[in-house]
Amino acid sequence: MLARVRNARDALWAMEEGVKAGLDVVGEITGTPKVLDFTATRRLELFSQATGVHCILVRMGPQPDTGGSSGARWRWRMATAKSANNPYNPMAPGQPRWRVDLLRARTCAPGQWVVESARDVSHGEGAADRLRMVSKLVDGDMGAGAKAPVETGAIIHLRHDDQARRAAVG
Amino acid sequence: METWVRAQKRRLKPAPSSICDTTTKPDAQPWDSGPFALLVTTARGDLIHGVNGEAAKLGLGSGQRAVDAAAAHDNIAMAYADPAYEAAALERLAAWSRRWTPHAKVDGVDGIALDVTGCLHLFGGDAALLDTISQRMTAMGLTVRLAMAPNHAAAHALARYGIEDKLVIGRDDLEAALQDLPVVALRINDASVTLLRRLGLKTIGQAAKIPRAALKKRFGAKTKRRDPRDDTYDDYLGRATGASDDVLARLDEALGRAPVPFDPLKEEEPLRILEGLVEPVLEIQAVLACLRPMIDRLMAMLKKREEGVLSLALEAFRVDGGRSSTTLRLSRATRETDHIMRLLLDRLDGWQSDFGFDALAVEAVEKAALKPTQTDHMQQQSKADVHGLIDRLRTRLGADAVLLPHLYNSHIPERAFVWGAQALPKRPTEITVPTIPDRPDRLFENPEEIGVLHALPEGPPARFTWRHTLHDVERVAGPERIGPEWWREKSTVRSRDYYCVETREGRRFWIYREGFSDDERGVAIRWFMHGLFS
Repeated sequence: MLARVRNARDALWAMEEGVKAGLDVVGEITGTPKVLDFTATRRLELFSQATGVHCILVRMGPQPDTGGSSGARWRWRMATAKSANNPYNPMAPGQPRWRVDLLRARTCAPGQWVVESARDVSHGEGAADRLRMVSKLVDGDMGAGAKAPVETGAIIHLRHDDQARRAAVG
Repeated sequence: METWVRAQKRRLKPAPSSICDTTTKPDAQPWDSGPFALLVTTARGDLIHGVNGEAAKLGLGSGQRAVDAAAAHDNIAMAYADPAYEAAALERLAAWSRRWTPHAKVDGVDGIALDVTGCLHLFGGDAALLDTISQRMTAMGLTVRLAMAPNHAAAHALARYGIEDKLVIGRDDLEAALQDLPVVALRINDASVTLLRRLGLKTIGQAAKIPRAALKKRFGAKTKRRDPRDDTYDDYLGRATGASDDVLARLDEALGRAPVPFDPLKEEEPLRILEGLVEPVLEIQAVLACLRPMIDRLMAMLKKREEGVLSLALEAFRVDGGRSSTTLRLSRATRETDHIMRLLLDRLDGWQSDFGFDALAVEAVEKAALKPTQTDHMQQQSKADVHGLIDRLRTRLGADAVLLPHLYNSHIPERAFVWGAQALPKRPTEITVPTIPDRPDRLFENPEEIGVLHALPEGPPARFTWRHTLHDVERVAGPERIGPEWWREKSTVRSRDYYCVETREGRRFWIYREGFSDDERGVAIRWFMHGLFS
């Protein structure tokens, strides 16, 4: 189900309605509108705790505000990373990888990791919603000019979430 | 005393599409100038169903074969009748005729019957009533034949086969009036009419003179069904009027010796509740408080009918004569007052009450069947209230704001699903969800053209420009060729070669090349960006 809204206020309201109705919600907001403040995110956080659903707010934009104006329990920044080597074809990309950056969390210390999809790209096997950690030693061929592209960054607010915890804690 | 009015409408109303034309071009219709006939298709070919005045002058009439008419008169215009539309129009006319009596019904395919017993004194007697009916219906553009008789069967016969257009027959004159009418007026089927005619019994009077026992023996209620190909036009009409082959019973009914059942149109209970308020109400919260019992009552009415409301209209009448109204549309039929109240709260948010509302009305405009459902023994309901959420979002964000994906049986990526406003239908089993793993998470509705540097003639992309940014391709998977749907698309549509590319920064895209060099469908090869992998 997809709801299209005109502004951030409606987006937040729609997310809140979704959470109250007991559905997992993924919202997307570009930029840093004024209405997206601590109160708004805190409301989402509390409602999702009350109904026990996941509420994820994806923030797109050139420089998402990473300040303290969010009531989310987990705050992540994600960027794409070079994918793993494809075991069958050296020319092709392998398992997709992401560089995740835990900016703030209630229960554990911030940190940075590289994760990859647990789903096998070549065969389509494995769970699509699982991530696995990538050892830093394996991911060793970063070129000199390769920098993490912050322009695609996104902060992800997660409710208490097994998947995120697995990603975060390993 | 029972008095019956029988109105017959000459079917000069054409099919609905032509009716629409009359409103736009009132002076360019074939039935206005020259002979015109409406046709019905029966097992015996096209038969004339109705004619206009000029065609009647040529000797044409209902039941004749269309080919004969066309052969005899080359200037006759013809069109097919729309029986469903005629039936609906007749029913509307019958409902409208309830202005004269509460008991009205559609009679066959070409008439309405009114039971005016006890209503005559309101309209100045029987003749005056017929005059009024005639005037009103003529003003509506109908040609009517009216007959009033002590019973329905006699009125039916006199209106269709009587000498005059307007007849009032009392109980004493009944037998004399029916005497000379043809036997077909008795609502008997065609086989019985033919048999009576062969026996030399052409009028009702002649048939009535035959001893009852003989009639009973010859024309008892037979159940033998004839071959439908032998049906005549009268059969076509007769089926709708309930023609039977029991001549004796029909004769008794017409002569008033047996009762005729009369089943009037049911009056639809209007699903509208209008309530005047004791004092004008200013506050929206108070309006909602007044609305709640009204909606409760409306839901109780719907529950009795096992229906739920799909769209609900609310009207509020202001003290100064103004009126505010709104219509709620729901994603599925419901009878939950709480849910509706919540939607109304959102909807009434910006209403101006000015000097206050002094009357409120709610109406269930659209309804759908909503049977009681069995809950399981734990009385558990699904926790997620998806339809309620859809309603709330639509009420606030607009009807087209909430979209639901529908899978579509197509291998073209952008056609494999569509976003629709309707509730998610059950997935048809023949649609197989592709298990190909490498579809992008974000697919563009309209692929964006990109400039690509690639090895000739059709090597993988090496570098491309998308949205004014240059991307160096480091790794490529593909191509995956997706051919056009040749059974649907034009022959010039080219197949696509999809590549999953990863740039030096690790961004992953889904791009495709349209066509290949020797596909004989064009020379220029174009590249498009179609999606983003996460």
